[in-house]
Amino acid sequence: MVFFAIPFTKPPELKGTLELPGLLSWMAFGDINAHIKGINEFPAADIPPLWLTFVSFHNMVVLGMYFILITIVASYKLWKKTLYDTRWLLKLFIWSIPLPLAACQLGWIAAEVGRQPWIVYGLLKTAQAQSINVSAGEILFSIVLFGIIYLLLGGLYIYLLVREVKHGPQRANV
Amino acid sequence: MDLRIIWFWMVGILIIGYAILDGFDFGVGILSLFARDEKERRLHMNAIGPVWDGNEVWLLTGGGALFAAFPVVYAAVFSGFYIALMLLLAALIFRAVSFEFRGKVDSSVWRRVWDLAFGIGSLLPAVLFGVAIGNILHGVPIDASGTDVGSFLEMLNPFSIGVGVLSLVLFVMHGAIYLADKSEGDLQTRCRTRASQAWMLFVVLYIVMTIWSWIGSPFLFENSLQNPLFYILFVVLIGAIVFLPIVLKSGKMGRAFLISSLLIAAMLGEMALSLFPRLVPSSIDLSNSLTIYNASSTPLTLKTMLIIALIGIPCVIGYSVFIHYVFRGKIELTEESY
Repeated sequence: MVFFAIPFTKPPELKGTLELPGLLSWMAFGDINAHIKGINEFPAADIPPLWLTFVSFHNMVVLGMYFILITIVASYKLWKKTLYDTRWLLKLFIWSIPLPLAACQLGWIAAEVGRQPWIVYGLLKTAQAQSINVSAGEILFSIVLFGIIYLLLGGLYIYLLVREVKHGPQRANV
Repeated sequence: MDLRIIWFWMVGILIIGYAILDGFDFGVGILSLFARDEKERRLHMNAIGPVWDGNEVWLLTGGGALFAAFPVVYAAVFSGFYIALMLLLAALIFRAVSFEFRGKVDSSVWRRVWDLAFGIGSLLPAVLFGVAIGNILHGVPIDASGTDVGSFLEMLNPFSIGVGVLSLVLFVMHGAIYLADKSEGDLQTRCRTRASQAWMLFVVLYIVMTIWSWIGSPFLFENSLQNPLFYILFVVLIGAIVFLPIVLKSGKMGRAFLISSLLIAAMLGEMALSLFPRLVPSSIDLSNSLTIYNASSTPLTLKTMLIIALIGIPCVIGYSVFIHYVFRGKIELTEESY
């Protein structure tokens, strides 16, 4: 498995690689000698849109690493009893609130785009799985309908969240 | 016994359970549109607050059971009724959110908006439930390949709208009885009056719709009239219809609720029996109909699903009974209420 590399296209190769051979084979099949098929070994018709899959997956992993890192730093500061005096870290945490949601969506995009053109891998292609008696107009109607509903509810959610935060925690009765 | 017959009734029982359980909370939601003041509106919401989401599980299990046991029906109906289902989902989303959002901001406009979301979000599903059943009883334009070639506007035919109104009236009656059981004083008195009025409307509509289906969908009465179960259910149904106003008058609201639940079960049971073995009759050619024989999964799937269902359904019934037991008695409004 390659942990870090800079990809070049002409000629196609990776430079500055940091890798542990056999790790991905072990993770996927429980056997360090198992063969992991490269993307170039699949027929062109079975390859998902690569750019979106690559970017969303890698950014999800980057965010995950970032969460681990700031948690380790904060745990260390907590142990040293200086966490609540480290203003920059506390501010960073506040600004990081939306990031898990972003990571979640990126992972979802990677899974949904990355499994194309299959809807059930090896059995059924997305193109074969569509409803033949639902028109494009009807699909558009439902997408617009739910798009509006979710934007509305999302907006209200943020409005209520900000209100609650500004309101502050309730003082306990002493 | 044939697994496909077992699954026909399994799906039937889940739909009946859904109608009984979500039926009363739709009814209470619709009645909340006519509540007199803030306290009454909160009473409506809190009467079903602890139970409504558990009730909706029955819709999911019903849909899931249909998907597992009769995938061809699931595909035809869920794609064929696409727009209706999307509207149903939209209504259920607003209804669900209204519980949580309503009390969050102290403004009368804000509360009014969510009251409407709660009321209309209950009314629309109550009507659509009947419209969907009306379409099944009327027959759906299924072609020779098993595809529903109808449109949303065709779904809104007079017969199906009639069944939609019937289910609206039935759920209002059922909900009014439930709310009468959960409330006291003036509200309880009005709920009892509304339940009696809805009962009268229901009787008239039920007779009209039965005659209409006798004329419009004669195939419903072909096999069922030979089945002794049809007459047993008929006696139960008539018994429930006749006894309901008597029990309502006596003021035993818990018992009235059981009778109206029995009424719904017998009525939907009767409908299922008249459809059997068809699941979706075709209005183009009856031989295109989807039946338990041409639309079912493989025996292995049916067997596996049966084992899962026999473990799952008692769990759902168990927690439904438990939550109703925990929140038994009259509604009390506290700081923590909706």
